[in-house]
Amino acid sequence: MQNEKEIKKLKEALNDYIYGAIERDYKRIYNSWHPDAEMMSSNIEEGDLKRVPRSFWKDAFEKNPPTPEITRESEIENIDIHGSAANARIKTILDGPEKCIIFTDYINLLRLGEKWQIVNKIFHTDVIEKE
Amino acid sequence: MFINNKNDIEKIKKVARIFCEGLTECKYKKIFKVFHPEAKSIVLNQKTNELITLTRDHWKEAHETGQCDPNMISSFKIEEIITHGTIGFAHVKIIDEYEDKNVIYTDFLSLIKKEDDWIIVNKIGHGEQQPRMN
Repeated sequence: MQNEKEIKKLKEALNDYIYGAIERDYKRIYNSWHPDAEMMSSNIEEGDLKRVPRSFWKDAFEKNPPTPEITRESEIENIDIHGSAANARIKTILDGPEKCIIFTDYINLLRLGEKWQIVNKIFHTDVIEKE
Repeated sequence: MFINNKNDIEKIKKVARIFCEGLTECKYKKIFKVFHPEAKSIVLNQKTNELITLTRDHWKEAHETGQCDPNMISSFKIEEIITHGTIGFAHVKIIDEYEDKNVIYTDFLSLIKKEDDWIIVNKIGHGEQQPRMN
């Protein structure tokens, strides 16, 4: 049974991540992202696991200038809550003039007191080249 | 992109089953077979409200020091499997039966495809007690 109040709180955490990434505000991302949380993906080139800490966001925003020609939109596709543990699926589309990149995130969250925190993210990337 | 590819679903189901068998039979070697050496199991300490991050070695320690009881009546159920390209997700339930209660653990397992195999790279869980109706 999904509790409406918990879903609302969980969405607040996910929206900090989603809009923090859109607004290039790493502090907003950190608000919902546990300091030890990692992003993981399959490292096809080296054949193993690729792990990235949450400081990736701070570094990326500080090193790379904004790219107004690329739009970023995210949608929460699914939420599954069991007690103090939850999993969410988010789809993010980065649409640029040359290609469209689609990220599919599976996010694990734990509830610390009244607040949900992202503790792990795994993601898959699909790239669609434009003619 | 491959969403919920049947072959991958079956492979993840097998991985989830090996993991659950390792837990319920107190056989850490089964867990090690499917749990990445750098993967973390993250749980919440309900009393202190702090996160506890464990490596797979904590199962080895528990099984070798007798903290895991192989005679405990335990069962498991794979509730859901989802895949998307190189990532996968499994929702499993482990039930430990005591004389007066059942303890039900809900685990969310994150998996990554490594070549043609799947491996668990993260686990979070929630446990709750239910009184037994004898």
